[in-house]
This record gives sequence, C-alpha cells and structure tokens, in this order.
Amino acid sequence: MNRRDFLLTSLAATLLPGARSAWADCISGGQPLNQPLLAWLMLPGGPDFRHILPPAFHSQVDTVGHQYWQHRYRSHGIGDNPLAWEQRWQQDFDHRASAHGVNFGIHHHAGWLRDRWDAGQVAIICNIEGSTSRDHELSLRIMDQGNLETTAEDTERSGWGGRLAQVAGGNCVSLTTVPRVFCYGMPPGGDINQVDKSNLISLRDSRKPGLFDWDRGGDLRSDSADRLARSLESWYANTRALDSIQSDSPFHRFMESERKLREFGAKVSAVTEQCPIPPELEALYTIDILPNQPNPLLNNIGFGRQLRNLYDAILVNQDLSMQVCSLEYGGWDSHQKQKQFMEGNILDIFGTGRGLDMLWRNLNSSDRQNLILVVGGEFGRQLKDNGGGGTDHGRGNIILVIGEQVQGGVYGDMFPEAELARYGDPSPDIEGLTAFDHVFGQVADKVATGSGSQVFPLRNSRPIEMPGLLNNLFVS
Amino acid sequence: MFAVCAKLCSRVIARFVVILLVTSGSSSAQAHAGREALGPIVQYFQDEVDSPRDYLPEGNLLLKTGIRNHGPFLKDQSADRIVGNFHGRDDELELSLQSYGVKDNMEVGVYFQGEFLGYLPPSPGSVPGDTVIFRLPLSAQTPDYFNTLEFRRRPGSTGQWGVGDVRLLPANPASRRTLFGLPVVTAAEWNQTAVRRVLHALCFGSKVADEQLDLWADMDPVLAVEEMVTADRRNLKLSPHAGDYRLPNRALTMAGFVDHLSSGSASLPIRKADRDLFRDGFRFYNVWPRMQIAWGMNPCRQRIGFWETNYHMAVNLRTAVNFVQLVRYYDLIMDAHADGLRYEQVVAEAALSAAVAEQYQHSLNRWDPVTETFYGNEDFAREIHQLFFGILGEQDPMGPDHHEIVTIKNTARALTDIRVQEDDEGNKTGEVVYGTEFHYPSALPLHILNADITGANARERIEQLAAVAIQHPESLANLPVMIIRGLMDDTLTTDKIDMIRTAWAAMSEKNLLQFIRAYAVSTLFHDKDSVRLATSFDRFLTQVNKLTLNNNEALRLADSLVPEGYREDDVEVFEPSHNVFGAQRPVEAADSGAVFQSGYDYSTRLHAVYERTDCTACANGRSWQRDWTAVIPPGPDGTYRAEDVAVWLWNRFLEDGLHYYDAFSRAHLLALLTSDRDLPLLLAIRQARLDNELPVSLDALLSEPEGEIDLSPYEHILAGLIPAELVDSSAFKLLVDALGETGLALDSNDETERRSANRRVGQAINFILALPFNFASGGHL
Repeated sequence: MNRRDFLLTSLAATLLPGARSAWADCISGGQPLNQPLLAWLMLPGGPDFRHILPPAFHSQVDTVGHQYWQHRYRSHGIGDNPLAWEQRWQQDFDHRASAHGVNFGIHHHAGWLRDRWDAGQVAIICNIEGSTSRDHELSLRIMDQGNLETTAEDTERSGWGGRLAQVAGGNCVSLTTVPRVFCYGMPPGGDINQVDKSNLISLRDSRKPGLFDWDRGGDLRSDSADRLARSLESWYANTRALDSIQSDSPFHRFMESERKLREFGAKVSAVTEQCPIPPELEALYTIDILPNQPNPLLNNIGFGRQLRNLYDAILVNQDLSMQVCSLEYGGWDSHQKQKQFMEGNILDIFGTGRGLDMLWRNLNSSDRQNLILVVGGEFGRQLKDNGGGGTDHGRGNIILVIGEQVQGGVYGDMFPEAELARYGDPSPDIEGLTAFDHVFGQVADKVATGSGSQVFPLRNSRPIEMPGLLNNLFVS
Repeated sequence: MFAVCAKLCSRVIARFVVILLVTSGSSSAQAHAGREALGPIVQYFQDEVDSPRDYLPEGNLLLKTGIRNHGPFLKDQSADRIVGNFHGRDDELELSLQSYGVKDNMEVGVYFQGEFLGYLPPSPGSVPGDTVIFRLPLSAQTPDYFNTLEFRRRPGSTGQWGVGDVRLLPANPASRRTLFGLPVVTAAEWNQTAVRRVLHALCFGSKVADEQLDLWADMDPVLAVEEMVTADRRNLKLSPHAGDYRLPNRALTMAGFVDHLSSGSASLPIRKADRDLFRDGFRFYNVWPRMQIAWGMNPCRQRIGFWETNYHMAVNLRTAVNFVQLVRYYDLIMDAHADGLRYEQVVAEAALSAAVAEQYQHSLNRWDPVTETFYGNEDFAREIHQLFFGILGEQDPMGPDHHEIVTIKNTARALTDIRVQEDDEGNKTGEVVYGTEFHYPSALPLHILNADITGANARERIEQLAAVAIQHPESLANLPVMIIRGLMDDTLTTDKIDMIRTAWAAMSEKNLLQFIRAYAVSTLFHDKDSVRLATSFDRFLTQVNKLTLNNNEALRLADSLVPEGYREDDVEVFEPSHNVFGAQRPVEAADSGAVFQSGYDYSTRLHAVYERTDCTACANGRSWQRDWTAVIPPGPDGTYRAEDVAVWLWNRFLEDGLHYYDAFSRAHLLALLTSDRDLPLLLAIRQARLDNELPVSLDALLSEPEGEIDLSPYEHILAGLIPAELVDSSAFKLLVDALGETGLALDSNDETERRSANRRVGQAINFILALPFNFASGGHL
C-alpha cells in the first residue's frame, strides 16, 4: 500500500468519533509507553490563564465574580457594563464548578481541555509562585531551571526536566526548535546549580532525525555528497577514538551532537520510516491533508511539528530512554489585543480537533495512561487589564497538570477573596502561595519514585498554600 | 646549555612577558611607529651553502615581526644547517619560532653562539609545530656585534624542513598596558590568529585580504582594532571592492541598499524580474544578508547593527513593525554609532523610534488631560529599563516594588503621545511626532529611577531618562556584560565580569565601539578559555563572507548561500525567535542537535551550493565563474600545491591558527582537494589492491576503475574508524605526503580542469565547515 492509499483508507476510521487510531499500531516496532512520561509544555510570555478560566459572572459588586469582569472587560474585548460581562460569560464559556463549589468557566476554544476536565484528568493548581520577578528573561530561566534561587547571572544551571530524566536513569528529549534549559541535566553528584547535557536529546524533526549518510550500496566513486559524508564520518569516528577533543573542550558538545544524531537518528528512522505520520497530526502543520478543515489546522505550525515529534518519540521511547520531553508554544505576552492573540493560541493548543486533541486521538491506551502533560508559563498577569486591551506582568499564576493518572480538580483557592482588597493597589497581581517545587516535585515523584527531593532539594522549605495540598495530585 | 621551554610553558611565559617585538623592514617599522624599538638588529639568516633567496620569502628577512608569510620556509633536501645573525643587545632575549618538517625530537638542534640550546619539537609536513621559546641570556650575548643562531639537522636526515615565525623578544617585560582597565594583549600575543578572532566575532569574519590581515597583525593591536571595528558605512580595508561591480555610495545604508537593489540599474548583477520584491516583499528578508556579504561595504557595521536590532533592542517584523520602520530603525542606530554618539544617546534614539513604538504599541499610550487618566500598556516602560539599559529594579533603594509601581508606571506616562506618522495612503511610516496634547503634563515631573524626569514631550523625557539610566548602578553592572556576552564572549567568569564592569564604569562617556574595541584587544577575549559559540546567523554569514569572491557572486547568489541556510534552523533576520528578547542565542544553537545537523547537511547533501563554480547569464545577463586564484596565493614556483592550499583554506575558514589541524584533518582535506576520491575510499582501494597484489601508487589508487575490485570486504575502512595500524604506517604517511605534493589546476588553461580544481576547493571547504571548529571559536593565549 502506498502512502497516499494508506492515508485515505485510514482517514475514515480516525475521523470517527471515539475511534481508536490505527496509526499507533502501524508497526510492530512501536514501543508503547509503559511508565510515566512527563511532557512539559512551556508557554513563554506569561499566559493569562484566568482569561480562559475566569470566575463566573456575579451581579453583586463586592464579589470576585463581579470585580474580575469589571477590571477585565477591555482584555475580553467587551463593553464596560455588567450586561456585556454576563453576556460574554454566558456565550463564550462552558460553566464548571470545583469540588469545593467554586464556579468558573472554560473558554469554548479549549474544548479538549474541557473534555479532559470532565473526565477528571485536569488538575488546575492555583496561586503558584513561579518567579520572584516580573521579568520574562529571569522568570523563564527560573521556571525552566525549576530553581527559585536563580538570579539574572545564573545562565548555566540545570533544568528540572534534565534533572528528573537523569535521576530516572533516562533522557530528556527536546522536541522544540532549540532545546530549552529545562532539559539540561546536572553533573554527577547532584549539584543542581551546575550543568551536564549528556542526557539531552535534541529532536527537532523526528522525520529527519539523523545525519546525511552515504549510499553504502551505491557507486563509491562518483558522488560528492557521499565522499563528504564518508570523510566526515571517518573524521568524527577517528577523532573520537583518539579522544583528542576531550569533554572539557568547547567543541566536545558538537562531537556529542554528531554521536547522538548518528546513534538516535538511526533508531528513530528505523521506526518512523515504516510508520507514516497520522493525517490528523500532519494536518496540524501541513496543508491539504484533511478535507473541510482549516488549512493547516494550527496557526502555529511549529507547535504542530512538535506534537508530531512527540508522537514519533513515543513510538521509540524505549530506544530514546525518554523519561521527560519538552515542548513550547510562545506568544503569551498579552500587553495588548489579549483576546485576539490569547484565544487563538488556546484554540491551537486546547481546541477540539486541534493540537493536543489530535495527539491524544492518536495515542494508544498505554500511551495515554502514562503521559503526564504539565503546562505553565513563567508568570501570570495583573488582576486588572490595561488601557490597551491587554494585561501587564504579574507574578502568581496557574499550572495545569493533565493526564489519565491525574486526580482532576482545583488545587488551592482559585479566586481568593483577599484579592478584592487589592484591586485598588497599583499593579495588583495574583499572590504566589505555593512554590512550583511542590507541583513539579509531585510530578517528579510520579515519573520516578522518590526523585522529587533530588530534583527539588529545597522543596520542603518552600511555601505551600496548605499542608498536603498536592498529596493526592495523582491517582494512587 | 641554556634553558629550553617548549609550548607547554610558553603560554606561561607569554602571560607575564610584555614584549615589543623586534622589528625590521620598512613596512614593519612603519606599522610600529611610535612604539619602543629594541635597537638595530641584523635580520637575516644566512645559508652557508646556498643563497638565502632559495628558501626565505622575499629574499632575506626572517627575523622579522609579523613576517608576512609565516611559512613554511623550507630548505631543500641537501641542506642541514640554517644560520642567522643579529646584533647583540644589553638585555636578555627570547627566541620564539616554529619548526616545519622535523621528524623526531632529536633531529634539529638549536645553537646560540655555538652553544647548544635544545632541540626543535617534531612537526609533520608543512604544518607548523608548536611555538617554542629559547632564552638567550645576556651573559651569552655579545652586545652590538654579530651574534649567531644556528639550526643544525642531524646528518643523514632527509626531506624538507625549515623554521618560521621567528621572533626575538625581550625576556623582561614592561608592565602590561591597559585600556579602560582591561589588560591589552602584547605584540607577541597579537598575531594573525588574534586578528581573525576579532574579525570573526565582530565582523562576521569580513572579507579582509591576506595582505591587510598581515598588516593588522603587524600593527599595534589597539590601532589595528580601531581600523577594523568601525560603524562607518564603508570600510574598504575590511571589505574592499572586488570584481567588476562596485556599490555606489548611496547604497551603503539599509534604505539606500533597498533602493539600489530595487532599482533599474543595468549594471546591478541581479535579474530585473527579481528586484521588485526587495522593497517590501518576501525578498526584503534577503536584503540584509546581501549587505553583509557584499564587497565594498562594512561588515562590522552590519554585525553590530544586527546585534542592536535583533538582540539588544530587538524589533520584530512579525508584529506591527513594518519594513519601512525597520529600515529607518537600523540606519538610525548605526548612523548614530558612526557619528560617535554616546551610547545613551544611541539607545534613546532607538527608544523613540517608530519601530519601537509599534513593536511595543506604546504609540497608543496617552494621557487624558480631562480625566487625568493614563491609558496604555507598561510593556516598553518595563523593557526600556530591562532590555535597553539592563535595569531590573532589584536594587532599587526604595525596594523592588518601587520599581514596579513607581518607575515602570511613570515611564509608561513618559511614553505618552508618540505619534507614528502615516503616508498619503494611510501606511505607517518611520516618522514620529512627539505630541504634547496627550503627553503627561509638562509641569509635572515623573519620578523614574529615583530621579525627577521632566519634559514637554516623550522625546525630552526619554532623552533625560537615558542620561540617568546609563549611570544607574544596575545598568553599570549589567549593560556592559550584556554587550560583551551578546557580541563576543560566551564564557564570562566572575573575574571577567568584574573587569568588564570596571572598564565600563571607567569610560567617562559610554561609547559602544570604544568598549568592544577595548575588549577585542584584551587578554580576556584572547584567553584560551574564552569561547564564542556560533549562532546559525554567525556561521552562515561568516562562511559565506569567506566563500564569495566578488559582487557578481555575492549579490546574485546570496539567497541560496545565506538565508536559505539559516532558515533551515527556523531563524530569520528581523524576526527574532524570542521576540524582543532577541534572536537565536549562541548556546541554543550549540545545544541543538538540529542546528548541527543542518550545518552538516549543508556540507554533504547540499554540497553543491558551495562547490558551484560557474553559471551562465545568471547575474543579470552576465556569466560568473568562481576563481580561487583571486585569493589563494600560489607557491614560489607559481603553482598551487595541495599542501599549501589545505593550510590556507583551514586558516581562511577557521580561526584556530591551525591548532586543530591534525594529521587526520590534513589527510582528509588533501584527498578531497586533489581527487574525487575521499580518504576512506582511497585507503580501502589501497588495501584491496594490496590484498590482490596490485600496484598501490597514488596514480593507481586514483585511476582504479569502479568495479575492478570488490570493496565490500573493506567496508570497515569506508565506514568510519580507520585501523590504527594503518594510520601509523609509513605507507599512510607516504600516501598523504604524495597527496600534499599534488598540484591543483586552479589556473589551468584547460577549462574543465580548472573548474574541477575549483570545485574541489569547494569540496574541501564543505569538509571544513562541518567540523566542530566551525560551530564555535576560542581564544588561544
């Protein structure tokens, strides 16, 4: 069966609601996830999660449900009156309530997130102290490194994903264009303030995973590309054998890149060459794949490619020793036109028939059972919008943890009453009550039992909104 | 016997030895004008057997500072002695040199006044050995009279040999010079490799000619860098005119360049059908790379401009910023640098530009005088401090919240009523009017950075704010580090950072060019631990600068040579991947397997891009041929010996001073340069022929037809590791030496031969560019 026929015959099945994708079983070499895998989705720019998860509108003025809308109507692109606020709340949000009776909405663009919430697979963890600062650069570094001690000068420290992968005895696979600090490991001895990148695998394009190779069955004498490929393979192999570029050399990292691309590239190719990309995933970033659908499905096609990379990486997860992987979706610094930009992003990521939904549909039950998706940004936004239809930097924020092993629910006070008194302050923001160490530490423990304290050695000294808040984050 | 010090300790010596090199010859004497001279020294070596002209370049000068051609200076096989004389002095001296063709560590002895000093270290072929230093004590010298140095080869030795880069240095250093407190490299530490390193970091390698490189290597480093690193619109020393197309003066700014590329000029080597889209279509993105690689411009200006507009004060064409505003922004900043404005003035101009107002949308910020209410966002109000000046507010004496709720909020008010003008068709332009109607009341000062900032409009306030910000303690601490890390050095230690900060603080008037020049001649930058990782932009622009030999090629073929290369890495100029936080960072590129992969891919799968030798009627009707003889120097006999070309190419494309040019690199390069058979294939054929009892001469290996011998049993040689016993064999050395002696037909009258030879140069370049040393560069002190 050629690729096109394969696509056509499989397409009908995969588009049926609830149909199990045939793609995950397309080859016998596929390697189902048999242990928890952390997929960290970084949203650089400071995402305003309250924009898509707002409090229910309330007509009573001194309530959170009123004050929120009164101070956010411009960022929602609506009029300055309660009628418009209520209309927005009614029309654009699915209404849900936490176990403690907190009423909130999930924006219609986040249909997949809503479905996962309804399935009890979404933890909304509130009032996270993501950074000590409102500066993007520093805060991103702090979040990626998982290290609240990091200062502006601490550019070379390990990331919490790299540390976790290392402690778990595996690798952190970067699926992004360039690796995030998140995937940097620590050197032997466990100093989290140092870096060791040996367990980082960069997989920007899982469909072109290795180095160009010479045609081993072809004419050895005629092709310049082959000559160069042979020469370079020989140079790298012999230089490595001589150990003439040692580990402390600035050039060693390129020797490592060559080695990893050759080693892991072959493994990935061996599987992916037999397994076409599921059309639902390919349609995320490619035109003319699915009929009568946006073309391509995502505005951010780079994110679509990352999801394709994740799908492929899961197929070969054992060969890659993948314990952790890293994705990103930028564009959340919503100082102006927040409604326009943010809701487009949300649709890409969480929309029904869009990014994560298409991935989810194409994973088998074992993969879905073991995938833990953690979503967050470096900080949040201010409680009040600005005059430009956006919001300025704040500190506290929400982190989402999603997966079949997650105990869904709202963790922490989603809309603290104490915020009401701060609306009159200059630059009020969400107060960070729970350090991310606790959240990520729990995730780490789930991926590798007992690893949380190694990955976040200061976890026990960090603040938490209430003791034991996250003890049941995962289904036991 | 006097003390002998080989390379291992020469570095130690170099650290505390401040050396004014012995100079001689008119050009060198001129270059060192104004510096302390060591007095007269007779500067020739004399061969007792043959005329010095037989083996010394240009006749008789070898003991010469920054000698033009550093070798190899080879004796013929019969000679076993090289003798040189110099006038003795009244202080202790050191003799520094490199050896060539010395086969073992007891083959060549060094004698001074007849006394044995030690042996020269082994050095393979024409690759120089490590620099060695011998001390010449005062007691052994005869002042003001001939003193004799001799290099004696063991009788019975064979093969060519020689010495090069011979220098006499005073052994007792004066105090090391400093510039803004940064220690300046000595003349001994300032050489071709150091010059290349500066050009690599600050000028994308530039298009400098070998002769100019030598001149700068001979000059005082401070003076040399002043000539090299400028923001002028042209720098013909860095990028001379080449070929038959000269860019007119009006094309030297980005605005002028866009106009020129879009013009109907008959002589412009770009097809007219391609020109329209340079102005505002997708080809606009290919304008700046052309500015960088075109001959007759100033690559340093573009390098600094690229950093300013894509990293430090980045704007993004994927936002509301348009092409017109971007062009204006770029020229505004770089002309300000060229005019010598203080750095805070340059930054203020940038901050007040239309491009930045559109990027951050504070063009919408306004003060309502009726309701006395501010409308707008705080985005740039924060980032002007953080990104433009390096002020995070962490050390605000009133506490960090004071920065948030006073400085940032008031800066947003200072940025009110900035009106970006529109043209007749309603398109936004690069023009800005700073209004007063909706500006914060001029009577009210704004408390920013704990200073009262006054003014009737945004321009007045931001200019005043810039003068305060540049002296802010956090800016003094962070901005110089941002500059050096951004442009030059990825390995800033705590000690280096302290010195950088001190140097910046020592500048009474902050000037970016002066600052980076000072760092460029500092021991901090040239220290062996100093590393610069290459971004995708750095790599492609630098290598294509070295590759393109005239403007027909640079202007016509730029698209496939540069932007299509770095676009493989998902980067684009003026669309920084981190938006206002800048484009792809060096460490990101270095850690990305994908970036390495695409570089490797360019050298292998896409090899033809750099191997291209000609095209017909491609440059607006003109044909083009690549002719490497335009830049590669021929040997003394007028031929292009593979050995010499390999060394020249390595030096041109990498800036390690041949440090990593080892036996394997040499062997691979020579095979690719001389034939269409790579080293693994040659070795496999050789082994197969040996096993089949066939001749294994070089000719036989090169002419062995496809299919004559089954090579499948030798796949282990083809596929990677060459057996150590083979590498160590004399047969291997003989084979590689024979390849090295092969002449390249770069100037052949036969067009097919000539093209083939030029293509193989491209093949060798492809090999070099896929090595680790093209993805980073390091200091060598």
